[in-house]
Amino acid sequence: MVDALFAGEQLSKRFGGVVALTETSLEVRSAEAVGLVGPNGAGKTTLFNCLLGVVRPDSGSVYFDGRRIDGLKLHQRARLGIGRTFQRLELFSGMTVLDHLLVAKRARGSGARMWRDLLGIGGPSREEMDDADRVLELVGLSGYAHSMVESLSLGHGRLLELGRAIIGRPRLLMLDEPSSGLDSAETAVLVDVVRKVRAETGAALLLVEHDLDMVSVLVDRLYVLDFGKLIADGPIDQVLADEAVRTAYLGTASVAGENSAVAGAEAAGVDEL
Amino acid sequence: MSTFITYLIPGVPVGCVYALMAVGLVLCYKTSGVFNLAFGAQAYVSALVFYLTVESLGWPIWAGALVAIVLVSPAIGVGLDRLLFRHIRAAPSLVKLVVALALLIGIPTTMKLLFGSATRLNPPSIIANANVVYHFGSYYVSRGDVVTVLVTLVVVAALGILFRYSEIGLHMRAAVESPRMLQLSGISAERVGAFSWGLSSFLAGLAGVLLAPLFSRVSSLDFTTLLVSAIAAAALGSLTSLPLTLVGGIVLGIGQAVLTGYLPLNSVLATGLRPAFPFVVLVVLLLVMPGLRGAMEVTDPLSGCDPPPPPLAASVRDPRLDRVARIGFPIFLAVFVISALTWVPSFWVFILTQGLAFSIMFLSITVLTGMGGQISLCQAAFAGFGAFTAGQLAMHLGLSVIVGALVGGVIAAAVGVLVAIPALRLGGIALALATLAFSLLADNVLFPLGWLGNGATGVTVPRPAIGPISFAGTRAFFLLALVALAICSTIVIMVRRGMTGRYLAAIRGSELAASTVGINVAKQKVIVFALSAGLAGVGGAVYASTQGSVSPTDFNYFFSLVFVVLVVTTGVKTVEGAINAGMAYVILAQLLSYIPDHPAWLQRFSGIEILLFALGALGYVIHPEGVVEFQKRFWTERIARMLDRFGSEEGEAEGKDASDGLGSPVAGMFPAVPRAPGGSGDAGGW
Repeated sequence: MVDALFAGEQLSKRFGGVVALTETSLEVRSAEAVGLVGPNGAGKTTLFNCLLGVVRPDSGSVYFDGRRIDGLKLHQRARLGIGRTFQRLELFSGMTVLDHLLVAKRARGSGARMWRDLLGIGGPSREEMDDADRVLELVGLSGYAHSMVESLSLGHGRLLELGRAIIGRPRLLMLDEPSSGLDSAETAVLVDVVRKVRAETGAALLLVEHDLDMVSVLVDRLYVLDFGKLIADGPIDQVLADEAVRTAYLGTASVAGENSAVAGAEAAGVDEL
Repeated sequence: MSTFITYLIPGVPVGCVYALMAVGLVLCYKTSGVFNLAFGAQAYVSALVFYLTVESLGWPIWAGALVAIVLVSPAIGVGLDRLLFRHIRAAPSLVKLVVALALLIGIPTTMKLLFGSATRLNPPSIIANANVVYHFGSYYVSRGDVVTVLVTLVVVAALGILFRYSEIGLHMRAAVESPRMLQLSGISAERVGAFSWGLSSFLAGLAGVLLAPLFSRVSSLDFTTLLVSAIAAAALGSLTSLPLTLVGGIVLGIGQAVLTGYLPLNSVLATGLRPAFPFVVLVVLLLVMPGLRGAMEVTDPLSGCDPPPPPLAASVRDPRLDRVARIGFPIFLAVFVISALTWVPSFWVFILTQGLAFSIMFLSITVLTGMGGQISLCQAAFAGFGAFTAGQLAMHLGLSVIVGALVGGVIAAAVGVLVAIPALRLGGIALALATLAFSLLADNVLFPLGWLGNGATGVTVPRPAIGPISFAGTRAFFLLALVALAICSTIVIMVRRGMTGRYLAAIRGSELAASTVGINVAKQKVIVFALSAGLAGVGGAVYASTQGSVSPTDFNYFFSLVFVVLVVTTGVKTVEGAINAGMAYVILAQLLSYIPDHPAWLQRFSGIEILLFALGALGYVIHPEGVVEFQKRFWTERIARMLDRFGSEEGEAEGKDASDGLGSPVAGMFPAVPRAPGGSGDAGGW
C-alpha cells in the first residue's frame, strides 16, 4: 500500500438492485502503466468513477500518495495531480481549444482571482501561453488553437481532452476508453501522444480500454474485471494468456472447455482484438 | 384542539386546489420535460373566461364551466405544445424555463389586452349553492368546500385509473421514461405529449375556476402564488406520486390555514408568512431531499441520440462588427450624453436616468445567466436590499447615496452569498424555484420590516453631492448614473475577459469537466452569485436615488420575473444587451403611457411593454443570443454581402471569409476569425 501512488481498496457499489462493484481493489504505482479491461457492463466505468469521486462508493476507500482521499471533492482530487479524460467527450462547449488549455493550466496553478481580472492583469501569462502552445503542438492541434470545440472531430476532441488533462502535469493520467469511436489512424496518434507525455513527465497511467492492441502497447500490468469483481491481475502477457480472462472476454466458457480447436482460435483472436 | 380543527377546516379545500394544480404540473413536466410555470397564468385564463361568460354574458354556470375548463384551457395547453414546447424538447432546461417564464408574465398581459383590466370581484362559484353551510357538532363546513374536496378526490382517482389501466396512460408512463424510446416503438410521442398537455391544462383550468371564489377576486397575481404553492405540493409528492402529491397539497393548505390562525393578528409574521409558507416548505424540501433534486432533472436515456441543442453562446462575432462598434460607439455616446445634457426635456432625462439604473440591475443578469449559466428569480430582491440599505444609511446616518450604493452593493452581495450557498446545491430548475421562494420571502417578510424596506412608507434617498458639486438636478444626476453604469459595465467586461470569465464559460460548458481540471465549481458559482447580487444592489440604490424614495412594491417579486424576460429578450450574453433592455423598458413604458384615455379600448394598450418583451423572449427558442445580438449579426451579414457585390476583389475575398463564419457559427469558423492571443473565447464586444 505504501509504495502505491494511487489505490482503491475494497470498493463496493450497487445501484438499486444491481451490484456494479464488489470489494474491488486496485493500485497504480508511481510511473507505472496499468490497464483495466473487462467486457461491457463489467463495472469498469463505475470503478473509475468511484476512484475519482464522481460516484461515491458504498464502502471501501481510495488513497493517493499514501493519503486517504475519500472525503475530497472532484476538484481537490484533480489538484492532487490526477488528470483524466472521458469516454463520452466532456469539453467546454462554446470555448476555443486554446482556452480549454489555459483554463486547465490556471486551475492547477494560481487559480482565477477576480481582483486581478478587474485590474486587467488576470489574463493568461506568457508562461501559460507558452505551455498551452507546447501542449497544442504535442497533441497536434496547433492549427486549431482558436477553433470552437464544436467544430472539432471526435478524434481531435479526444486529443484536446488529453491535452487538457496533461497540461497540469498530472502525476497520474486516467484515460476512460480513449479509443472508442476513433479510427485506427486517430488511435495511433493518441497512443503516440500518451507515450510522449509519459516519457516526458513520468506520469503513471491507468487505462480503461477495449482495444487490446492499444492496451498491450501502453500498459505493463493489467487488471481484468468481470461482473464487478477482479478476475485477474498481473503482468500483461501473463494475464492475457489466462484461461478465465479469455472466457470472460469471449463469453464461451462451456464451448472453450469442450473444444480445444475453438479455444485455439480464440487464443489467436485475442491478438486481433 | 377544537380551535385547531376550526383553523384546519378551511385549509383542506385550498389544499385540494393546490394538489390539482400540482398534479397537472407534474404530469406535464414528466411527460414533456417542461416545468410549466405558465400554469399559473393558464389557471387565471380559465377563471377569467368563466367569470366573463357567466357574469358578463349571463351564460348558465354549466356552459361557462364547459367553455372555461373543458374547451379553452386544454386548447391553450395543446396550442402551447404545438407552437412552442414541442420544438424545444432537446433544448437545455434554461431555455424551457425562460419560455415558460415569458408565458407566465405574457399571458395575463394578453388577457388584459383582450378583456380590459377592470377589477373583477366576487367571481361566481362553479358549485350551486356553494354558501350553504353544514354543521357537524360545533364545526361547520360550506357546501362549496365539500364539493371542492370531492371533485379533487374524484379527479385524482380518475387519473390514477387512467394511468394504470388505459392504453394512453401506459403510453404516458412510457413517455416519462423516454419519449425517444416511445417513438421507436411506433407510438407518436408527440400525440402523447399533446394529450398530456391538454390533460394537465384541464387540471390547471379546473383549479383556477375552483380557486377564484376563495380569493374573492379574479387577479393574475393570486394565480402566480397558487403556482408556487402547487410546486411545493408537487415537491412533497417527490414529483412522482399522485396520492403523495394530493396529501402534499392538503398538508400545505392546512399548514397555511393553521399558521394564519395561530400567529398574532396583523403582525408581519401573520401577513407575511402565510403567503410565504409554501415557499419556505419548498426550499426546505429542496435542501433536505437530495432525491428530489434528482427527480427534477428529467433526462431521456436516449437523449444522446437527439441532435445537439443550438449553442447558447453567441460564439463568434464578425471582427468588422467590432470595428464599426469601436468607431460608432463613442460617437453615439457623445451624441447621447450631449443631448441629454442640453435639449432633451428634463422629464425625459429623468426617464433615461431610470433606464440607466435598470441597466445596472440588468447587468446582474448578464453576469449570472449569461456568464454563470444560472437563473435567478430574485434579482429584484437583491436590488431592494441595495436600495433600502442606501435609504436607511441616508435617513439615519445622513450618508450620501454614493456611499450608500457601495455599502448596499456589498450587503446585497452578502445576502447573495447567503442565498447562494444553500441554493447552489440545487442548480437548474430547483435553483430557479429556490430563488423565487427567497424573492417572496423578502417581499412578504423582510421588506415590510421598519429597519429594512419600511413597509408601505418606504425609504427616502436624497440625491448626493460631492464636495460643492450637487447632483440634485435631473441632468447632473443623469451624468452620475451614467458614470455608475460605466463603472459597472467595465467590471462585467473585465471579469468576462479575464480568467474568471473563462472559468465560468468552462463551468457552463461542462461542470464535470471543469471540476476534473481542478476548478472549484461551487466556489465560482458563489462568486458569480455575489457579483451579480452586488451589481443588482448598486443598481437598486441608483434607482432609489433617481426616484427620491422607494418602497417594497418597487422591488416586488414580479419584477424579478420581468427582469429575466427583459434581458433574455435583448441579449443575455452582452453588456449592451442589458443596457438595451434597461433603456427599452423605460422608454417603451413611457411611450405607451401617452396612449390617450379615449376611446376606452385604446387604454388597454398601455402597459403592454411587458407583453412585447415576453414575445421577444419566446424568440429565445430560435435566437438564444438575444434579439439585439441576432439583429446585429443579421445586418452585418447583409451589409457584408452588399459590400462584396460592389467591392473590389480583395474586399470580396475578405467578405466571403467572414460571411462563412457568420453563416455557420459552429463549423469552420477558424479561418474567418483571427483572434488576439489571450482574447476571450466568449462572445466579444464591450
